[in-house]
Amino acid sequence: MSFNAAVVGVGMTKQAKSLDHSNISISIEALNLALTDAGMDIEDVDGICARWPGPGGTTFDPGVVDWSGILGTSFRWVGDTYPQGVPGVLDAAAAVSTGLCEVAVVFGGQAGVLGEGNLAGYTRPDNEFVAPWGLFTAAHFGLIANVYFERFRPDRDKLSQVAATIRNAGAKNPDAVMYGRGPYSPSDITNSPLICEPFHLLDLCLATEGASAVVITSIERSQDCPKLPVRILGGSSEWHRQQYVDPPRYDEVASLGKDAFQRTFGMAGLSPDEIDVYELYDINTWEVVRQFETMGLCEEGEGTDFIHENGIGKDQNFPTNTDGGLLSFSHTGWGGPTLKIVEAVRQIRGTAGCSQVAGAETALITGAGSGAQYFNTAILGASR
Amino acid sequence: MRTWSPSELTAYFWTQINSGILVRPVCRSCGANFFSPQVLCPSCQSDSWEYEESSGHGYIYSFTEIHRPPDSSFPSPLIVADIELDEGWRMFSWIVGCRSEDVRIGSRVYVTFEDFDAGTLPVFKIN
Repeated sequence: MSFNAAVVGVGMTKQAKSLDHSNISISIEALNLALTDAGMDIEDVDGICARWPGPGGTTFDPGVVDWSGILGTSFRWVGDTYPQGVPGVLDAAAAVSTGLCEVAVVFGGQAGVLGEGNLAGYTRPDNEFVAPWGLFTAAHFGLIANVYFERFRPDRDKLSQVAATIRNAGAKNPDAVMYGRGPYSPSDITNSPLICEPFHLLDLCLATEGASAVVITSIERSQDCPKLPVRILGGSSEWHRQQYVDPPRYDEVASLGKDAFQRTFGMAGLSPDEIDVYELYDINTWEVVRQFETMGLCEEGEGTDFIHENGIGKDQNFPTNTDGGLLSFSHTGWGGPTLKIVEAVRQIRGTAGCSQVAGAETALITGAGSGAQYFNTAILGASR
Repeated sequence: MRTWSPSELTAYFWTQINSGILVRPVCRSCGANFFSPQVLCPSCQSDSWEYEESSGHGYIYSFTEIHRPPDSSFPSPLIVADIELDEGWRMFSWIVGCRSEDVRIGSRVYVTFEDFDAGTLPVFKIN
C-alpha cells in the first residue's frame, strides 16, 4: 500500500512568544505562503484539514467548514482531524490518493492568545477529575517518566545532553523563537528550575505563537509545481485513550508508537536507521528518548546511552529536531505538529539553511506521545 | 484552584466526598471497578453499575512533585499521584502530610479528606 500524494508547498509565519495577530489571520498568512510556494492559489484548493479556531462560526461539526466562508471557497473534502501535523497530512494524503480531492491544505497556528504570562489553555485540561489536582500536560508525562526513571535510572547528564543538543540547534536558527539563547551545557538543563519531576524548565517544550501550512496533491499533479515534490512514503497512528483524562500509566503507554513505527517503516520500505532526519515530537526530553527505544533503535531503558553514543546533532548519526524542535524553535498549540512537517520538507528540498543536514532525502516525523496516550508518525521522502 | 462542575454522572461521587466517603463505580454485570465514571462499564458495556464505598486503601503507581503549580492558589510544592486503589481502580490525587523524600513508587496510602476554597477533595497519606 502506498500513498499517491506529495507535499508541494509549505508555509511558515514568523514564530514568537506572542504575535499581534488573531488565530485566524495568522493561519491564513501561513496558508497563503504555502500556496505561493506550491504555485497555486485558493481556487486550486478543494480539500482542507484545519481546526477552526474562532471567533465566529458555529458549533456544528465539522467546524473546519467554517473556513469556507472566510476563504470564499467550497471544498470536496474536509478533514476535521485533531491535531494537524501528521494525522492531518496522512488524512489529506489518503483523500488525495483516492480522488476525494485534488489539492488539500493542512494548516493552523495561534496568535494573540499567549500575552504576558498567560498559560497556554491546552496545557491545562478541563476535567473534574484532573483540573482540581493542578495537573498540566507536562505533569502527565512526569507521572510516566518517573516510573521509567525508577526502573532504568537513566544518567541525568546524558538526558540533559538531549535537551542541550536540540536547544543548541535552535539557538543557531534565526527563525527559532529561542534564536541566540544558548549554547547550553547539560548542567544548564539540569540546573534550570524544577517544574515537575523529573522535568526541569529546559526539558520542556515552548508555548509560542505563529502558524504553518502544507499543500498536498497527487504525484502526477506535483510534477507541475515549481518546487521539488516531497512524497508521503508512509504513516500510521495509534489512539490508545483520550488524552489527559484518566491517569496514563508507564506499563500501558511505554511502547506507544511501536506498532505505528513498524507499519510506517514497512510502508516506506525503510528501517529506523536509514532515515536521514528525525523530526521527533520533543514535548519533553524524555519523550525523545522513549521514541528512540520504541522505534527499535535500542532496547527499553537504553535510550539515553544510545543517544549519547550516537549523537543527535546535525552532523551526527541521528540528526534530530534540526530546527530546534518544540524545545527551542516553536510550539504553536493545535497547529504545532505541522511545524515539523514544514521542517522535514525543507530538509528534503535542501532549503533548510543553517539547519540543513547534507544530502537529506528521507525524514521521519512524529506527533503526540506517551502522556497524551496517542501517537502518530510519517515518513517523507524525495521524489526522484 | 480550579472549581469543577459535577455532571449527572458524577454528582454522587462529589456528594459522598463532602461526607468523607470515597466511592467508585462497580459494574453489577461483570464486577469491574472503574474510574472516571462513565455511562457504561468500560469492561462489558453494561449500564448496570452503582457507586460503592471504597476501602480508601491503595498504593502509589506513580507520582510527580510539581514545583510550579498552574496558579498561586495551589499549595507548592504539590505531590500529584496516580493512586491504584485496592479494589482495582485508579484516580489522580495528592499525597499530603509528608515530605517528597518520604514518597516512593509503591508506597501504601490511605484516603483522607481536606477542605479547600474550591471544595472538599479526597487526598492520600502514606501509611
